[in-house]
Amino acid sequence: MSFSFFTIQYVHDAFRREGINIAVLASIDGRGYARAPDLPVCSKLHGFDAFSNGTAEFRALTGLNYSECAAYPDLLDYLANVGVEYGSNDERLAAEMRSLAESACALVPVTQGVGLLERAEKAEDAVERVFRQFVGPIPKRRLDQFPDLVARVLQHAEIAYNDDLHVDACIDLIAGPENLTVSLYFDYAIIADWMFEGGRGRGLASGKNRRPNAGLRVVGGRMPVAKRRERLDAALATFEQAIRLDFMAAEHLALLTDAHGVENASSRCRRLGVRCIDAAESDARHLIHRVMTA
Amino acid sequence: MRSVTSMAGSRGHGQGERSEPACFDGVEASQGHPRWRLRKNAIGITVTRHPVYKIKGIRHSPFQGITKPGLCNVLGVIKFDGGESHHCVYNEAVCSRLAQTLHAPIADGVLTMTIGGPAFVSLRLDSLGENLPDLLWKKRGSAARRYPDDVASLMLFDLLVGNWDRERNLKVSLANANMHLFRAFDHSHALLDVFFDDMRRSLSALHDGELIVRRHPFYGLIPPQALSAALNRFLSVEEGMIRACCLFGTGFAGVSHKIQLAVADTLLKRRGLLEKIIWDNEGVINTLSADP
Repeated sequence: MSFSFFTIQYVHDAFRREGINIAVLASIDGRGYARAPDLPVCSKLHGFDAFSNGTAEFRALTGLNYSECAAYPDLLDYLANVGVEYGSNDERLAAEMRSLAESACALVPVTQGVGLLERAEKAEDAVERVFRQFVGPIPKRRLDQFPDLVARVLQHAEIAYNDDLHVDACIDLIAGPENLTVSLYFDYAIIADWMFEGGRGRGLASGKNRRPNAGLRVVGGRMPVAKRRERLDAALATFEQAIRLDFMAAEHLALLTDAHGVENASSRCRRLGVRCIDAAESDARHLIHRVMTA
Repeated sequence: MRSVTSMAGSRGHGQGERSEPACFDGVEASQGHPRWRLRKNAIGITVTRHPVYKIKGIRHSPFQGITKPGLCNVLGVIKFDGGESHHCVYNEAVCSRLAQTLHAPIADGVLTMTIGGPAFVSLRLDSLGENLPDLLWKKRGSAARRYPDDVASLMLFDLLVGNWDRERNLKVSLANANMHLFRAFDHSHALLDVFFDDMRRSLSALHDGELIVRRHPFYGLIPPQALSAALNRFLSVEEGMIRACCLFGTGFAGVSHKIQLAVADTLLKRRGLLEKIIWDNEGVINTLSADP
């Protein structure tokens, strides 16, 4: 039995127009199928959530970094919906591919082909075969290095695009009539209702300033042991100062680290009442979300 | 300068002793809040709700200035008069200005001059390096649920300018919990080109309060409160601002100053009739449009 399929390219740069095959949409025996990186052969949409699939395979295939793939879930959602819903009708799928070609989008349909379902071959296996033929195997690359992990955790914790998120926040805590300054440094901090300093001088302009809601220090990745220890000590000192000066509560502070960091710092974090979170753990995003949005 | 540690130690602060607000040398922080300021904050990954546009390249800064301005190329889709839209450039330019004035979610654009005459460049939407496909018709319900205010503003805007060809001319992010993107584009069939090749009839239909937009992706999907809020906003804009959106000071892109004045008067009249148009066509506007 024959079946029709389309291959879809991803074109990152419209000027250079260099595309890379990334997906296959097929129509087999009145049913639609979609296959793409981070999307195993899909023929039904019930319970499908493109966002939770992640972008690991897409990044490995395209070589893009995590932030460059932020919109891939939307592209994946489109491919799955079109492949499954429109794929049940050859003409409808073809019409949608024409529309896609005209939409000046990062997805470009390139090949329309006809495949043959081999004897006793399942439709899913046929789609997978075509995918391997036109897209090829997903390269193995060192995925999810620590910076990638951190970016993913922050995205999945739904704080990456929080309007109140400040990156590399250095807060000067001003103390007493001599205006002594204690500097607290956070890799990420949630500071809502923050008012700019100025006009009426330093510090509180109108009493509306609230303390930062939450602070996160990030220590991890490949680095010498001494440097790791130094950074962990600095992070914990920050937490200790913030808590001791009653500036922030322990439950609003967290250390995001890797397995080595957890090994070295978890007991000290526990003593302070601060969270010590392994970025590779599956519940990291929930814990981060809880700390940063409490 | 005393170290903070010793200060804190002298107060007897330690773990578990946090019932008092921080005191520094006997001076309590005003209103119970410690005094602090954010000294440094890197521009990081926080993204505002305004869409971003694709920069092709940034050149070295040739200009002096505290913000170190530089030259860059921005990607866009260039549109000319002709084909099915004889006043495409004027329509798009006015719709772009109007949308900014009324806060409708339309992709930004700029005017430019080419050898062939004036053209309109619709800036290419770029959600962090990628351009999304047009919104699927079956996903319009999801879009309406996620972006009720944008959807209401867009529908009202399309009614105002007579844009009957909205269909799927939308870029919407639905699958990414962290991304807010809802932008419409293409208004070549609005204003002077509502009826192909008949400018007078187009203006007349707009002026007389005809519905014009017989189908729309968001008919039947807009919460009444969102629609009411959008309508109030449209009605509260000063007359002079809407008029200014339509006028170019002189004839432009084949549209004389006299016609521009007529467009301005027409839009002001139609704005006043929006509520009546919605009321009189409730049956159409509150019913889902059929699949294309």
